[in-house]
Amino acid sequence: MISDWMTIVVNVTAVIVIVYMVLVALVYISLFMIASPKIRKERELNRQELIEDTSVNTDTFPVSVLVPAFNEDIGIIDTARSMLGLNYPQHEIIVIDDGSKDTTSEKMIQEFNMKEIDLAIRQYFPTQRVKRAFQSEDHANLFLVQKENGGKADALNAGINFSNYPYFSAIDGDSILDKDALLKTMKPIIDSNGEVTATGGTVRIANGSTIKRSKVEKIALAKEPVVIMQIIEYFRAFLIGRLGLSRMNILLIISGAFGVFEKKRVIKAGGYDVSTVGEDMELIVRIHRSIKHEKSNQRIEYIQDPVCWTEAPSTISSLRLQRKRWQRGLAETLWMHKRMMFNPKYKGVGLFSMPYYLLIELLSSIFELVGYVIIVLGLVFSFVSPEVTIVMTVMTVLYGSLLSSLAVLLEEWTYHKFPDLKSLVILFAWALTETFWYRPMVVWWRCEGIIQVLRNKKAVWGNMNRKGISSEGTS
Amino acid sequence: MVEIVIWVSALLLLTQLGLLGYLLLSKARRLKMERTIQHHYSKVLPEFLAYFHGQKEEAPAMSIPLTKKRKIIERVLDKAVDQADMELDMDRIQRTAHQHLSVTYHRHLKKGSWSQRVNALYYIEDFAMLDLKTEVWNHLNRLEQNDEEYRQALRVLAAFNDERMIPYILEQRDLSIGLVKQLLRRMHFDLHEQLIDIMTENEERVPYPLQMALITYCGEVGDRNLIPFVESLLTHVNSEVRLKAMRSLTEYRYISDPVLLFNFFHSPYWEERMYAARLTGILTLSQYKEELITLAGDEQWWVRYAACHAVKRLPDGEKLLNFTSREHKDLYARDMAKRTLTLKAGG
Repeated sequence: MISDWMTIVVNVTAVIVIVYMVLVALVYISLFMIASPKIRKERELNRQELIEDTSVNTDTFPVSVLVPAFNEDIGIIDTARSMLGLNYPQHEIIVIDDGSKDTTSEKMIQEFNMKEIDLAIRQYFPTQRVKRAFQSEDHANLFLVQKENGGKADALNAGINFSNYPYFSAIDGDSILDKDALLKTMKPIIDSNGEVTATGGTVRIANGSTIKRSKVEKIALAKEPVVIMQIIEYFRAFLIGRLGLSRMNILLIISGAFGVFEKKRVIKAGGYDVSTVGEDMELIVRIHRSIKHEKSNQRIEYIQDPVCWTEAPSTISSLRLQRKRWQRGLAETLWMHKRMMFNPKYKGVGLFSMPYYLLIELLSSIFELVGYVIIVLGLVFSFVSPEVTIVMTVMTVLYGSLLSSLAVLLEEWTYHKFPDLKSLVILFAWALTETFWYRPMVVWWRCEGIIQVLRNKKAVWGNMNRKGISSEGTS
Repeated sequence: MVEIVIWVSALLLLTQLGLLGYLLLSKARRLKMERTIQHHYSKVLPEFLAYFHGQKEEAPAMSIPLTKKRKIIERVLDKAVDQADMELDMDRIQRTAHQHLSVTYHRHLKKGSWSQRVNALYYIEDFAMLDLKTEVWNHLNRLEQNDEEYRQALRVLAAFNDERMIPYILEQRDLSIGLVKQLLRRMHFDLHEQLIDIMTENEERVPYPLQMALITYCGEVGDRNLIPFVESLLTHVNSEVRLKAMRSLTEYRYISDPVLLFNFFHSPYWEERMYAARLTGILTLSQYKEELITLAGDEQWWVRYAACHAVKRLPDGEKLLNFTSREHKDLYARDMAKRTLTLKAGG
């Protein structure tokens, strides 16, 4: 009797999970259908010509590049060099050392011949105490701000306080920007006469590629399967998810790794929130909110150009920490702005974007975990009908791998960055295996992230055990 | 149920395999094409450069299929015009472009994909293909969206100094200031003069972004004949116009009479106080040092910043800043003066 009931409960749950996954797959396919026409339309466009005028234009707004750094002594010099090498008419680089315990500041001071300057900082936002500031003797547009530890959001707020220009770009201390990254991301802002208030571009994984003198010279796949899977994930997230949402003007995330913002709008919105680890998403939601409250025509845009290269976690432990932190940030943001959820006042953001991030990006891990448990239990104890087990297995394999394949297609349509056929085959082959090892792992970590939020455990700056991405080649 | 799932999965698997096959084929084709183009390009480039430099009388002959030839010629011409070499014979570049690309671009503008049309417009401008001016004008009038294609069509016509551009842009109220300036930079001076005359005679006729762009462009181009026009706008009723005129003067690095600046030090608009300070520094108008020191304690950070930087530019600037950093009654002024003293120029 109990076993009959259990079978019914499990079967019903399984059907719910199947329906859920079909719906999720349909949402992703719809986003693909929305994103792909733009990529197809622009696939042969000469992108160098596109930014040629902007690069020599005196009307190209000056930008402050903010690099928050906490214990980044491995990569900070390369990152700063990459910023100095940006092709942009006028920009300043502000590295904010958020109370690092390592030699981040010492390395900067020594490498760039920095001298202390007196502080006269505006206080748009309160931050932890700024102790000292330095300016490079060799590069007058390079600054270092030393402050007491307060987290990434606090460091960014301090950077905004210190900055001089009307637009700022936030970039992770372990990332490298494409030479034309600022031009490409500022172009929608310039072309729209300021109607675009924030932009972000595609972030790509640098592991495996050859980076010399802070420049990506040769693109190649990493050797570690865990990194290859992240490459596929990034394609999917950026070329399908973000582009699709951006085309509907309901994009809720501009990656913390690289984004450009109108300073005035961010000040109006209140700056970065120091109480969440998802400060990048939280800020965008608040910007949407501020735009809607003002009934402004401003919008947030994403460009599909790969503009930023970042080091992906190459060990299981660091990947786990990253995913838990992302999940926690997502949950916190959605909770903080719960009043926007299903609220018609916020139009697409309230009616589609917020529910999308809640039901698909956040809760999918729980549905998927339940799905995996059913499959395993079904196989081990045979109390689930074999049909349901097969349906669930096949659905999960195809649901993941087809989207991954479509994402690889979009990558090939946009930048066809991989120089050989072998890379495509490898990406396809690993995409097919995702369901059997990578996805269950990530699903579990994401569930851990949700549990962490529910237990209200404090999260801190992520420690990635970085190797640094600039060398003769990283893997 | 199982049967349906098997069919669906087989279909999806086939889709994926089909996708993989398509990607591999197209990538292989692209790589092969790229290798061929690169091979021919490196072979013909020196010959073409010699022809463009007048070292050879005959243009190099090319026996390559049409699609590859177009791409090779585009790269060769692009390389040539990017060199910005004064000794290049532009007529020969135009003739080469006309000979090899005109028919294709004509076709692209009529029937090509969006990317093809935009690329064609970029190259029509770069290679100064004046023979396609009418096609571009007709194309502009066919366009319905104000996207990059529209913007580039306008840039091409501006670069070709098409007279029809003046009435056209006078009717466009939605062009951005940035785009209008891009157009102005491409136009001949007599077209600017026409626009300035129209603005002086009947300001209402000129769309607001065009007015703003024109005023700042005067300073950018640095034509001294236009200074009276810019200075006359310093007393305009619209504060935005006054600000653009001040910005223009900072670019000119000139003002006919420093007295024109006096009222701006006490303006209720902080942007005007800031520009007054900036202009005083650029022109090293020592007679306004008292005003600058007062502005060093302004309520607005940007005004304080501009005032202290302006003081630094004065002949005894360092001394004045030292004095300000010690003796100014305002704490913010003292802080800013200290910062300015330690800050390296350009930062």
